[in-house]
Amino acid sequence: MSGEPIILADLGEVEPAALVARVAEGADRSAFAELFRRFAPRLKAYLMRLGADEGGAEEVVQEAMLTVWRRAATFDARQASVATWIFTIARNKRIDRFRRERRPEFDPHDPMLAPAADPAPDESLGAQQEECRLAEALAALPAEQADLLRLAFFDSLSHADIAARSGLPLGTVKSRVRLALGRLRRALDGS
Amino acid sequence: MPESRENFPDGIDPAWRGARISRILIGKEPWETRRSTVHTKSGLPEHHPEEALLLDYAFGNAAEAVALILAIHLVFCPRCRATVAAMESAASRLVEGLPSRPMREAALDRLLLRLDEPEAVAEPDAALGYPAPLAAYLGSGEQARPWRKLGRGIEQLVLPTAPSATRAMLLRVAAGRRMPKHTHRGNELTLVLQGDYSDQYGRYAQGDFEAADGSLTHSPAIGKDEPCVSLVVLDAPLRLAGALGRIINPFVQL
Repeated sequence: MSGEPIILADLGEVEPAALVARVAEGADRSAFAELFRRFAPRLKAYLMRLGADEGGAEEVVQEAMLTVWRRAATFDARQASVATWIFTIARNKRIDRFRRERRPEFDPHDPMLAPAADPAPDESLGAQQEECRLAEALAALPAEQADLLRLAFFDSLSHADIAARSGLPLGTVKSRVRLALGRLRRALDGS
Repeated sequence: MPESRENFPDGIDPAWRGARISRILIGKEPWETRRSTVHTKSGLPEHHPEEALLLDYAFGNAAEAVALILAIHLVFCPRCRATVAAMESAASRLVEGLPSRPMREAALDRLLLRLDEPEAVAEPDAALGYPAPLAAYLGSGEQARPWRKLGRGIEQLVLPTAPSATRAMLLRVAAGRRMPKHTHRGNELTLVLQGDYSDQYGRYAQGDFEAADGSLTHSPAIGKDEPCVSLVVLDAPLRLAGALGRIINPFVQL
């Protein structure tokens, strides 16, 4: 490759979903660079918080963002926000790399996928709006439920691991997860 | 006859979806089984994994075999897909709450140079016609993994997950059979892919999920009309219950 500098347009004001669309439709490198600037530092923070060293975290971020470039056409704004979609890609790359396991993942384009009933158009919230509500509900969780989610997430512990380490009965861990999830779901259902 | 496919939201008649699985898993066209999949319930599962398991999956903390069985349940279950999506959004919020870590200088430039690299083909031999997460484990043609007969109408196909105490296998049990009565040293997760079985907790058909542990002793009875194919995930060997159980050798291999 030549050392020709790539001149990137300033896209600081453009919505993330529009950036992904530009990558999908036009292989737009400026849009991709903007996605990288916005999301790569957070992904790096996530990977390092979960125990990766800096070099390993950077490599996983590179792999994840390369997948964003290649799979931009599969992004579906009705299913998730861009931030969540990119997070799931990084989560899976992390499992491949650091646990040396495959990450089984359902494919939204699997012909066997049982379809969800379509909500009436006026009932369906945009993914972005849903995530705002979800963020509010997450912030309002009782401490014991919020702590459990943070422990599961940042210490990479399964619910069974949490029970074993904390001494909490397994049933208590499960019911806290159930209660937390109930609150998150109610926020999304708008009730 | 199934109705026209246009009546279904994704253009796929659930009966046809079942028929395809029938053809692949039991080697028979659906009309060769006495009760074809046309009679299965509307297609949506009635028995679901617990939220705590879905959380393990969404946060990336499930063992590979557990992630596999959950991913396949999700293929059949829009309700649990919505649950996982909510948990993934929550995870994404937690990431956004972290102080960001700037990437090293030139990281973006190096990545931009890689954008035109051809993509390595990662999954050369996925079997066609299975739910996608399972297909990747089965291989096809020459590399298709073999079924092993365990006796008593039970056949087993162990799936190649990464070495771990938690193992995944397909079990195919002949119509009308009953699994030996057993309990569990650890956890047993079961997902029905084809056919059905019943135990004291109910009837389990395509897409249904059951979790059992040491507190449960059961002897699942396979439906009378067709073989039952299920994916089973175990994190410890089963424990056979009763005098009969002890003399049934093949089952000990599970």
